[in-house]
Amino acid sequence: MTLTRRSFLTAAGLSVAALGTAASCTSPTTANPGKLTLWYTSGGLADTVVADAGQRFGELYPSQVSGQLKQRLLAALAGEAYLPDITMLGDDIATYFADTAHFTDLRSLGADTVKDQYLPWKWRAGTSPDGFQLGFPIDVGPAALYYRHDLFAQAGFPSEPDDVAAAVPTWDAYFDFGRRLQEKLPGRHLITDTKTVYTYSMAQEPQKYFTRDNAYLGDAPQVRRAWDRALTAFRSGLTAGYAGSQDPGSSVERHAAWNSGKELSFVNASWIVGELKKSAPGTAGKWRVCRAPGGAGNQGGSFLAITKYCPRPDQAFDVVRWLLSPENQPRSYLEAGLFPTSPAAFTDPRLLAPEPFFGGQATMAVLGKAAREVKPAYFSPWDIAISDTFTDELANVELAGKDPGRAWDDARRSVERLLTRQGVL
Amino acid sequence: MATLTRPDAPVRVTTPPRSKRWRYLPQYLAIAPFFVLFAVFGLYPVLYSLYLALQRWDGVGPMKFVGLGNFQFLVTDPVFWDSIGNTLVIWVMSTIPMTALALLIAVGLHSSIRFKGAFRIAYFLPNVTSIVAMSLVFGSIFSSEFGILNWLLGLVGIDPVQWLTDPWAIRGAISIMIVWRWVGYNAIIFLAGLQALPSDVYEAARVDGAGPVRTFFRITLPLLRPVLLFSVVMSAISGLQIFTESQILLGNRGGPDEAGMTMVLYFYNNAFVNSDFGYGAAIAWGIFVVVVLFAVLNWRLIQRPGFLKAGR
Amino acid sequence: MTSTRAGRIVTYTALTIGALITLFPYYWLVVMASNTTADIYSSPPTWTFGGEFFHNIGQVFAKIDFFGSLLNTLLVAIVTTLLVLFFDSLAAFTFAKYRFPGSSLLFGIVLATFVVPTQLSAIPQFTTMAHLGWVGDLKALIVPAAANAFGIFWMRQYAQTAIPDELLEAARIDGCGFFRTYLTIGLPVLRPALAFLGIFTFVNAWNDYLWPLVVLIDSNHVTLQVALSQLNGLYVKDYSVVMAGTLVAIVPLIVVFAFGARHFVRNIAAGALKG
Repeated sequence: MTLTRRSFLTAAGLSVAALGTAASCTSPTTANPGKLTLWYTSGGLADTVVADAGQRFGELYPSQVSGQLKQRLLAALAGEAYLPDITMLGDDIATYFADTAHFTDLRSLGADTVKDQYLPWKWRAGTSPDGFQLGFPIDVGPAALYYRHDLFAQAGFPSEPDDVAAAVPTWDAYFDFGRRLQEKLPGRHLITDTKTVYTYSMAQEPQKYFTRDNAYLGDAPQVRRAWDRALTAFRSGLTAGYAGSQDPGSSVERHAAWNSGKELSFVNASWIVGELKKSAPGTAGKWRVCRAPGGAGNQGGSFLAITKYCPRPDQAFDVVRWLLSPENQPRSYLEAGLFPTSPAAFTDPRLLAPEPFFGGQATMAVLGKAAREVKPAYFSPWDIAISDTFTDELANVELAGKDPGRAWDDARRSVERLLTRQGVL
Repeated sequence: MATLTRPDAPVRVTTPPRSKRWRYLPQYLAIAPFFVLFAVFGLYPVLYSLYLALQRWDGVGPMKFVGLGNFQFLVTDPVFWDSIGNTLVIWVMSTIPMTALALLIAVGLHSSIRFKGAFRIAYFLPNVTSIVAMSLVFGSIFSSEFGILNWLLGLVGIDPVQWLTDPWAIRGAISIMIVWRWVGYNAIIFLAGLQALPSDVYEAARVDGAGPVRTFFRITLPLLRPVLLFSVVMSAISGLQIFTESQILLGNRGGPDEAGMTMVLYFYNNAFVNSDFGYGAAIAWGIFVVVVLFAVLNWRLIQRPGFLKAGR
Repeated sequence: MTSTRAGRIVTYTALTIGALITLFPYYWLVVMASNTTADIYSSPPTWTFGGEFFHNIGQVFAKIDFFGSLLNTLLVAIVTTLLVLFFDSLAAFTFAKYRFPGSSLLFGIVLATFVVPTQLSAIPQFTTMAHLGWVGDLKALIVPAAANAFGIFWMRQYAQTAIPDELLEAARIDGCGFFRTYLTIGLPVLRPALAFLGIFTFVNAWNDYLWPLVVLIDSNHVTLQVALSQLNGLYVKDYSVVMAGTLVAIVPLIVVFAFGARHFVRNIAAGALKG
């Protein structure tokens, strides 16, 4: 190492110079001036569709980020620099309703002309309470009942989708069905866990925790209903209660249960299919899908939004419209599991083809119907935190033996504390 | 932390006389880079987080000044207090076995054996591995139904442990991961300390007829005090920041009974999951206070004369 | 200490068992990376190496710019490490061996910065980088990390006793200036400490994730950890491919450590941590 005093001083000088440039440099507002920068979560758009859009719209500059896209977006919004022209927003889109000034109202770009091509409830979910059209629908997560056809049949129970759907119209009927089924098939469980029951019961409710004016509904009957359903399932021994990450989807035990047939059925949004196929290809042909007990519901789904920093919003809107067009949605579904938001795609022949994994069933018939039947609901900025609080307490009951009454009180108290701190209550 | 500078005051070399004003310029220049970098890149974030702690902010909308409201909330937040308890429990559950194992490994490596290099690499490897990348591996290891750990326990006739649902087993599982990651790191530090010890004291011990165990507790351990001190203080500072292990095993909420909810995980959950940045900042400063108190306490405790001799 | 034959056998056995336990997760990693995702989750799980490794690796290379991001990571880690070693050792040497007006106070500040909360720095630091025009540039990772309190604190502890005052006095009599003294006396003595700090810094730079993800806004120009995270799709996760990516990302670190370890453990023995 030949280090002289001069070189050291140079280094020190550079540091000081770096300080100086801080004042003089003006940073670009968008990440790639002259291009249309698109930020999306890995797998949140279909890569081949994005690539085609790149061919078609030469100026598109896509950039995929892992699940932490929001952290980057917030940093860029706070710095008002290096912002994307188009960005993906998750199902917490209501968070951004508080400050739509960062974004462009899609109505001003003619979004209303294509509005009718999309599921009305989903379109509405991307609209702020004062009518600002923030999000353009990417995908939805219609819920359905996934079940093991072979095991249902083996136990002598209804096993064809229509018969199963008819046998379990409500959650109570489903639980009753499960009790009898588990007697025939000991050592297996009807459904994943209490969280699944609670989450998908709430997903079916048109009214969740808040009104569209962000008024907290407090001790709402639908919350109590979902809670009680989860407890009923647990008390009847129907829930498997997989240990592991709080997200049962990433639990090792659950994946193994799919393979071993210990999970007889589960209610989930359509996006679970990719994971099911990947983790349990050995069960191909044994699964079927039917209408979820309790009816249609939605869980998850994302949007694209155009920032106000985009110099050519009309062009950006063309890109968005093309990426998410009814014609491109079937490809996105087949490639990345992004369930179409445009009902026209539900009847696309590619999506109505028999699926070997589901024993030749065309699941789109079931899922598309569910997607159409979802009732419009307002998903507030606090819904995820509140839902997590309730499902946490349910997990305490299910896995740690907590007294259900105490768990309910604790959950309610935590939610009230959370909302008080955030100035909502 | 300021006490760290106190115990040693070696003779300082006086610099040659020069023009008075510029006399210490080289010294100031030598330490300047750190301060310049901190001023440019570190100070603003720190001040920002102080400012943020006084606001209510979801990361998108306008900030709202709430004074000390977040802190008021913090001191009455049962989850925060639980998270302090969890963190301290996990720290004890991991640091004690880790230090003991690291000492054993260091002593083993210090003896005249071959393949030292290979052993060193094997033990140090976890420390250079991103633990996030290993999350699936640990998920499989701790799985209650067919995890390797329960299988091994079964071999010796122990019933399966619910590693991911039982509150104490959760803390145990997190501690095991921490030990796995840091034991080699500490062993190598201890090994360095061992190799620096004068060999004549061992000769004297052998002449006196002291066995290896006795020699270890009577001579080696007391002589290793400075190294142990460093290791414990470092683990007090970094160990209290533990959260990745908990997060990858149990998710953002710490698992059943929030048994794995550590202080930093609670921070992460509020700031990055719930986008409650004001409260997140307040938690960050709460953690700061706990860490400083704990480090000072540790330092005082371990510095007391006879601390290690009292052991046996 | 263990000089008897029996003692040696016990030592070898214990060390080997310990090493096998430590290495077990890596064995499992290789098992996962060489099978399909379905094999990983079969019940009972697969215990043996499969034949899918090259297929999985191929997927990794196809989905992300592995070598480009590897190069970026190497660049960041190496430059950061060199800068840290230089700046930290210089500052540590100064704090350890010289007293000047404000030196204790300044060292106190160094220690204080060690524990102040930095977890929320992504947003303000992004703003700083935007002003500097460094967003998307590797400089944004290297420069803020170029000197750190841990290294200064730790190396000062080491330097205090490792560098004899008599040597410095001799250098002074020979007419050596401050920087010459640092280079000719301070640096050589600090070498073992530098090796340790070097590995520590390198590993941290290598595994850093959230800040690179936020500031490297061009997904075609990222570091390895950020690139690997892109393998996790929103809805479809191919775990065996993720594991294969993880595995190949560890290999360079093993190489670095294998080279560095010999050097630093031997030297550290020369009297590390007399603090």
